[in-house]
Amino acid sequence: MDLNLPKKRVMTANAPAWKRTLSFAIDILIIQFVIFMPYSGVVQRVIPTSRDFTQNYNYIAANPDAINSLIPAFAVMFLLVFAYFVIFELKFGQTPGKMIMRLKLQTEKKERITFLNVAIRNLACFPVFPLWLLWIADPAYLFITGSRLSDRLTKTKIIEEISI
Amino acid sequence: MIGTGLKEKILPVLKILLILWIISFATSFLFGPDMSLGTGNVAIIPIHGVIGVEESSGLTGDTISSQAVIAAIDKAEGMGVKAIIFDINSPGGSGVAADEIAQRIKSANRTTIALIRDMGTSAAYWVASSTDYVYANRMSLTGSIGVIGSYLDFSGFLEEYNITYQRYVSGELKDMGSSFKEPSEEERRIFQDIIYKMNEFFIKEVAENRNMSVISVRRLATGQIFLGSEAKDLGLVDELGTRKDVLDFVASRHNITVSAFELEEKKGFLDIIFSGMGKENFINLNPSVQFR
Repeated sequence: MDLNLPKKRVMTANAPAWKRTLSFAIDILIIQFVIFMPYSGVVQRVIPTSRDFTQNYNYIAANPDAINSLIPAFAVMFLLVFAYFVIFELKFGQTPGKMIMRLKLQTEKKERITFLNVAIRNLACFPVFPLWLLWIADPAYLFITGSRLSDRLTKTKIIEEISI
Repeated sequence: MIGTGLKEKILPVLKILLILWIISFATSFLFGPDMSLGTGNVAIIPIHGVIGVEESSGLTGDTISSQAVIAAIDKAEGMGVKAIIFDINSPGGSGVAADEIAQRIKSANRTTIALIRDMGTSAAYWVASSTDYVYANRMSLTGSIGVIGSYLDFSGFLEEYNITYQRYVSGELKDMGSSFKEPSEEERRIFQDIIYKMNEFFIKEVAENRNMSVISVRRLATGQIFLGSEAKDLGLVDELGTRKDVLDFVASRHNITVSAFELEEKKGFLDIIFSGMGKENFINLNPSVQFR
């Protein structure tokens, strides 16, 4: 028997910072398995295993070439992290983390999301100066104003649905 | 609605994640020097080619860096092996690199054995002498304790073509070693003094490593090479033998069934592509060219 129930009434609002942080944490966890884990072999090949932090630090300090040989690997690794965010946000408007937390990317004028939008939003994936400054500026801006600095730059926002 | 269609999205999401994982996994093999890891209780570290502080000829692979050898020793120790065998086939190389390797070998808390194959001369002998035991084939070439330094002097050539060397220096010795001018007597003396001083480091290290007197090592430090059989009589080598003899020695010393594996640096594809042309040190501890 079909029940003709009234539709659930929802409204959208800017996603709170804690939900965005949690969705980001979920994404990082997925990235850990999908991208970082295959690359952990590269680090182990360069820095001998069975060492504690101090030994690793001393080894790296004594062998700067070891770190130099890791730089191209890190470059590709962070390019893949960048690709993760860009592909999902461009295709679905959501990363897996946002899907789980039921958040979505939207432009302020509700226009179609462009590659430029998502590329600029995710520039912080590259740990090079001055982009890494966004690692500090973005969360600080998020917790103060409720939106990331890169949201403002690209005129996008992360929304969530609230049942009325 | 944001939450709707989640089930429909699962498959494409998993597809994208799988593609990213495959790309990550595949590209990770392009980077970093790889120590081919075997399993066993005895690690064999090859020291083949000219020893340098850094590898200088990426494609030909005829050099080995002190960093690579030290990393291999670290790796072997981390794997908890009983003994480390250094398979040496090298004419020598940089004194600094040899010293770095030798110091690391001496600090290793494992039995260390050098096996000199075709050649283990000069800096390579320095490295060999720092191990607990030195094995060599009776026909191996070893010794050549000494230092050689050289450079080409083009000053006569330039003069012939009426090219002059314009010299601006803050001190008389600043352009010492320049190929464009003939060295002064003072410069020759300084260079020769450096060679003698480096030779003294070499002699003292070998004497200490081999438990010989400095005088007896100095007597041998004419730069002469010796056959393995001669080197044994002179005290530069402990035993004559092959790899099998070395493995038998380790087995009896540690009372173990030896399972040996090679720890060799393998280069990633991009390492080979990006490896640059090397620098030559002014002072090399290479044996005379006839033996290289």
